[in-house]
Amino acid sequence: MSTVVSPDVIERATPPSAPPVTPRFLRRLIRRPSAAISLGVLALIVLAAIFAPLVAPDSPNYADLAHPLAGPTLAHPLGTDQLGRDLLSRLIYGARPAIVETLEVVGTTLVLGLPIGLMSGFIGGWFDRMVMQVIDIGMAIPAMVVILIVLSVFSNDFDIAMIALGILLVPPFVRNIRGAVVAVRGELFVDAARVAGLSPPRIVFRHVLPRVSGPVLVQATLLSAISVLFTSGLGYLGFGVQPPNPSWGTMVGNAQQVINESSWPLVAAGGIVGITVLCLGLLGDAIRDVSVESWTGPVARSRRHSVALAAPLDRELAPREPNADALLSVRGLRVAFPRQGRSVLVAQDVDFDIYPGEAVGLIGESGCGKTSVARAVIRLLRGGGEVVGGRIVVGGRDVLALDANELRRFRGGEVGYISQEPQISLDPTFKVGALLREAIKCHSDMSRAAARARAVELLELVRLPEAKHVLALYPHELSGGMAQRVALARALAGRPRLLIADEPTTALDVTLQSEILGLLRSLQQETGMALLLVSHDCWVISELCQRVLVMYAGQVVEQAPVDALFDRPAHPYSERLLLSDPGSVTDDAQPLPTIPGTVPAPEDWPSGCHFRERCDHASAACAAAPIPLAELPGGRESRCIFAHDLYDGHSTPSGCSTR
Amino acid sequence: MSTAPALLEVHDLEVTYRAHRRELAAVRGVSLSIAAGETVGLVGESGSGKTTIARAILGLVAVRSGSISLAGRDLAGARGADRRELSKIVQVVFQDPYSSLNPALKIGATLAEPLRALHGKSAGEARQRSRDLLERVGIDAAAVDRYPASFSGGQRQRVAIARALMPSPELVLCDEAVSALDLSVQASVLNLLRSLQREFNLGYLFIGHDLDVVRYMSSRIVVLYRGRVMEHGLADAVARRPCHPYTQALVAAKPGRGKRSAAVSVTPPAGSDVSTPAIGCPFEPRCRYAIERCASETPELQATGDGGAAACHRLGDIPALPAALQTPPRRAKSA
Repeated sequence: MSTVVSPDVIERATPPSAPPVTPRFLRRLIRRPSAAISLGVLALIVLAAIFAPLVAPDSPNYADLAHPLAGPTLAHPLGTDQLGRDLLSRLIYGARPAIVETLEVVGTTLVLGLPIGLMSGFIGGWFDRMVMQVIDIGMAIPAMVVILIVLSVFSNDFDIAMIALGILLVPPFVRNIRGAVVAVRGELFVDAARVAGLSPPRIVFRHVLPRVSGPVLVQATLLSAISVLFTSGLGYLGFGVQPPNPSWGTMVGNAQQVINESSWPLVAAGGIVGITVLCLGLLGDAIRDVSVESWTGPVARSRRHSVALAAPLDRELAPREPNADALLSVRGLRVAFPRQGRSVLVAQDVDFDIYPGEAVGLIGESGCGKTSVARAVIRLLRGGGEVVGGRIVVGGRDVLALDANELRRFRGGEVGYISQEPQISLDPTFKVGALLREAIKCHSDMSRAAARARAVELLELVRLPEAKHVLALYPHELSGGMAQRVALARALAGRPRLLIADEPTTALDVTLQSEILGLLRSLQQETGMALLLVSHDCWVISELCQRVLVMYAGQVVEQAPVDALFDRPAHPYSERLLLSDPGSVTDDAQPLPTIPGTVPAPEDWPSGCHFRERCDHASAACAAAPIPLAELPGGRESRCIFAHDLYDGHSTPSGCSTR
Repeated sequence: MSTAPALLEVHDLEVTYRAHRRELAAVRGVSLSIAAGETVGLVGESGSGKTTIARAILGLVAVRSGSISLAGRDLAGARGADRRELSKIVQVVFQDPYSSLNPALKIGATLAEPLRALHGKSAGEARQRSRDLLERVGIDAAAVDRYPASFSGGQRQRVAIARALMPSPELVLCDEAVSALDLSVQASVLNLLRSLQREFNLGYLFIGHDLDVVRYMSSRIVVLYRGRVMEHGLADAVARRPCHPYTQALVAAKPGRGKRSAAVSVTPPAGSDVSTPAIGCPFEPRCRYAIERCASETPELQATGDGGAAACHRLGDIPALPAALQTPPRRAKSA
């Protein structure tokens, strides 16, 4: 329905800087070492099998009875079996039935499974339910037993057995493909294609099939691996290719007979099966990664990134000393995230203070670094982000110097945190009571009963009626507003002196939002805790906060008391941002004031003032050097060299001023 | 109601969903009309059925009863080729610009799709029109050869708007089209939508949850709650002088300086979110003015002046919203 997708969430889901050029799939695949090696090995096996008469050193059935069970020699690179037959030659010829059988199995599964999976997932409804019932039954059929029956009925016809195996593998394949199709079917672009007038078959071929090609390829490699293992097993049991002709399975069987005399033949025969299956698995893995990459950009690797920064750093501004009177004092904070193998600054020279009991708003558009700053304060940066400079002091303690134990008590004990998605932040496997007790016990030694009483008290604190009833609910049983209240109760369990609320109401309806805001205000009055409210909504901030920080492109560009900011913004960005809100226009007939261009990505921050390329006032001086925060009367600051002129020159109030 | 012949006429629309073997009513008896070149706003919270109405108009969900007619042709009953023919007239811009463009297709291929499917245009013609329209919505025409991944959210929404305009529609449904965008980006997209409306005489059904944005865009507003129309009327009247207790709560809930959010409390009873009684006013469980009759009898829409109406049994008893909670007055929109 109308769940609001916040800009932040979307930006995170798909990095806007994903590489626009998409080189061909195969080329990207080969660039991965594991894929390149696997493909090479598999190609080698296939080519050797095709050109077996040319590459095999011997005829596969020529018995050199003088050298049975020989180790590797020049004449027999992999040694010989008990009849003196060359093992390498037999492996090469034995690959032929393996390849044919695999193609039969995979071909059967794809031909039958792909249409069924696509239709089942796309059409849905009763057809889907019927297919899934049949699939469930099919999954329960023991493959080996059925194949043995097929072989006995069709007098050892291996082709028919392989087709039967292919059919038996259809159910799990359909299940996978159907799942992928259902996910794609829910995407809006499929709806858009319907609205564009495309017929269902065209939608499937143009929009759905390309999106599920990755899973199909992955499944195909897995099916191949299963087929190689299965046919080797059958060969070992004596089915399929009959002696003296070689197959990998019969070779394993032969080797097993002489295991007491020499283990070498088993190493060779088992090795080729193992290597083939391993290569197929690695290939499938790489295909999965690459097929995702083609539309989302490279999958983030956990490898530690170099600390070399992408853009040449601005000369650092001289850091100021932390404020001893403040509850939270942040000075010269720099946060960096890895992006495409480089480290990129997302917050720079961030200075601000929060005093005990004060409510401070942090406002800015997505990609401006406000969430990074908020999470840096509790050292909970995601996606490999780290603080690369500056100081964070809470109650006189340096947060960046805390060890793991101290940090655990600090989070929740000194500083609480609630996020935008309350449902996601609550572990779905625990009841509300368990979640709260866990948080309570983290910060104080309490008996179970005392912890339970405290949990009830916390739920009453966040105005949840029937607290005892709520304790027994699982997170999925809570509505959005209730979930945010529970998340809030949990954040308050350690009696923090500062609560960081990151877009706490963005996912909620406006009437619920107003209740949560009211709750936050009264909690602040009751407990005396300070609040850092992160939001993109100037109305939310203006209702709750005494002071506002405006962030733009990684920097705090303005800091002012709330009335002062909304009446007379002293930075060109704050001014333009507030003006572009439809709620602050006075004449509906006029176009809304806009800011030209877009927020630059962290890699593309201009030198000097980050806003200068979009600013009407920009001059050469704005580009020359980093702009420091200029102090203005009334305890406010602005990161603009024209701040004093702007501040004095305002004739009319602007922005969220009329409510 | 406007006097111009209606471009879109929705009458007594009912849409139900089946969930867990139960029929859930998503839209219940909704009527609305849009004239050519007019914007009608549809406001409501999640679960109000506003997106379902759009999907019913687009033929993406089945209509249980009621009628939808577009430029005089029946839309609710149209199937297959007929239905696709109507796609020439009505198009859509969805909320999420990241999910509404197929990441595996180049922008040019996505744009050309409706034109080739509906009008049988050649690849060359479709490409030329794609380039023209991209330029018109403020995107470099070279974008036809690029993938959606290289565009920001605001740019993608412009591309989605260009796609909607490809078959030269008369009506565009904007389903939370700017809700995912940042403030400054939102402003430029709203401006674009308004200038396109003037240029092509488009009718808009503008769906949103932010009353300020919807008011700015619309000449008339329809307020939905739990699938029913609570109130409709001129945009400025609904936003400034809401008559229905729910609309009042919606207006009062908008945060702002000096506002005390708790002023109009609409606390929902805990845990009773999913089911709405089949009879009675759907807002009754949350309404501070509710009386016994509200639970037993579904209120009909009653005129409120200026062509507006509200569905409330106690319309005459509801005091006006205190001035401090009202939306400030605007200068009237030019026709």
